[in-house]
Amino acid sequence: MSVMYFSKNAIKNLTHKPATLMYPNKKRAFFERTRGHVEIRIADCIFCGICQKRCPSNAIRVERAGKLWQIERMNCIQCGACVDNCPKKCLGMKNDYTAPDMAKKTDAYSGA
Amino acid sequence: MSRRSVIPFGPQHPVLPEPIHLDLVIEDEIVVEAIPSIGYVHRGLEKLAETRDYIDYVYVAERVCGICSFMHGMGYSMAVEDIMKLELPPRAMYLRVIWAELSRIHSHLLWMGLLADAFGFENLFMQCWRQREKILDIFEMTTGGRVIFSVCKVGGVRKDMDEDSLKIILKTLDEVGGELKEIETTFLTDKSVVYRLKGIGVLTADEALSLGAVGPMLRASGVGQDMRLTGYAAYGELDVPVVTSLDGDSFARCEVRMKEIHASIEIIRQAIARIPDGEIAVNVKGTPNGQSFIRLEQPRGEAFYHVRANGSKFLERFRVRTPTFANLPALLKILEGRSLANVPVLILTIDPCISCTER
Amino acid sequence: MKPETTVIGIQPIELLSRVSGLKEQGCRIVQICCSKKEDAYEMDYSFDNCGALIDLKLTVSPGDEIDSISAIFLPAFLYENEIESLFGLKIRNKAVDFGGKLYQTAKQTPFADKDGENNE
Repeated sequence: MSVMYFSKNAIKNLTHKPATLMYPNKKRAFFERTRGHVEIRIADCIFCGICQKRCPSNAIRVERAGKLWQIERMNCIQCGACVDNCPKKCLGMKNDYTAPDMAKKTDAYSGA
Repeated sequence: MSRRSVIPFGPQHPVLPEPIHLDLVIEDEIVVEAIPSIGYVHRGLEKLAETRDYIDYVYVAERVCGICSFMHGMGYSMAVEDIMKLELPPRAMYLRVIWAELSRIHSHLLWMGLLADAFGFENLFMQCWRQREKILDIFEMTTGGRVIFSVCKVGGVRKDMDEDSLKIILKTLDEVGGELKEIETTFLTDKSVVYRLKGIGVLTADEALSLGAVGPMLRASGVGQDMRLTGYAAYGELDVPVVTSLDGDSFARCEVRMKEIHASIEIIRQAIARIPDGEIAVNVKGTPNGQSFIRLEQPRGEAFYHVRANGSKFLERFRVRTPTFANLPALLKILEGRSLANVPVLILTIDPCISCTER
Repeated sequence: MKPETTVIGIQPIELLSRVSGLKEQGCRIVQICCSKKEDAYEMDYSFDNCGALIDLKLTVSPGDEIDSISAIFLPAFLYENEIESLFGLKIRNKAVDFGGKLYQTAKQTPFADKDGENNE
């Protein structure tokens, strides 16, 4: 049985640079595949509503008549089901996160 | 005879990541009996399967638990694939094994950290989680998510790993394996750690079996049951080392999990060496009709999935039995006769995951 | 390569004798699952016998009570209390009885209605 074995590590940590980043001064780089948020190229959207049907958390609402595509950012779970199923490939997963917020917010895009 | 009193433990307690409540019947600081009450985080995910398309439900299934999320998605997919008689491409099977074993490493490292935290060894806790962070980075690089991967689907996997990613995984695992040595020595030989764990909460092999314990809990008591030996996914083609210990105490459970990290690293190395090229998913057509029972080995033990479908796109019944649920009776048993001060560490040694227990 | 699974359909009256038989073989209880059919409850008792899965399936009509197996397999009490609180199916002689309150849900016995109304 050893005693004070881990003290070596504690001293090393005192004299070495921290393993963490000084956020928000230094931001972490996201990976290419990081699922951050869903983005739409509204010009290509045909408002078919498949993304709305596929969404497991009912975050997307599509109004075909009003040509409106809405997403509730706080409900979205970034699974990518809508991106995979979009027939026009106008949905994409971007690798940066949506900003934190105090209230639930809905982003609406209209393809006039 | 001394007076008995009841001490409520939880639902909020520093040692508990999630809410569970125990009524501890105490006699002179010794626990005589423990009565659990759960139900604080019941979400009804089993019922939700009946109103969601079976292909999309995999994204809900993997949210049963945050730590073994990949394996929940995998268990659900395997059950549906079994009903639909889908033959998966070998590459998909190997990728599933790699992600599953990485999950096991990440879960065990998380647990080691929590255990160190429970007996007040803050530095050790941070070092465990520092290693875990490297595994989480692999997840983010290969799947896009750090905790919830959304990479498993009915019929295969959604994302492939290229040669470079596989090389990075091997490099990271070498690094983690090396840095683990110091942590391992501390857990297994440091006087204060051994003092808190050795001989505490002994569960014999007979008790473990009759109380239905699973996973590291069962293996630490000397029963070498591991669902990976049944050869689901690509495990049949790999050499799976089963780690057991004979003592059945908290120290044995810690030792088993520690060694399982090395075993998982070994399995991933084998899988990466043998991974075949090819497709990563098959097309899924039609709807499932029939029933299936699937069991697989999660970091916490055997998980059970039962899916019954009636030919419509909604499932008739989806049932999950998570390992913590099976380990609860064993927890009540090991608490008996221990002093109140040992209760937090003992609760941690079953690696409780309450949200997945209640689904 | 799939582990062996045996599904055996039994009558509720046979339950205790079958389960005692499995206990003598050294089986481990895996789980108990209840599901609601149109006019009945279907129960699955799963046991592990050295890697092989044995499943006892039985049908219970609504209003009927069934026996608890927790005297034979103690861990069954958790599953049975879970079924009682989610489905409202009565199970007698449980080792520990939570009185249908294992899960404290806003709606009583939420899994009991088949149509899934009020569950959205």
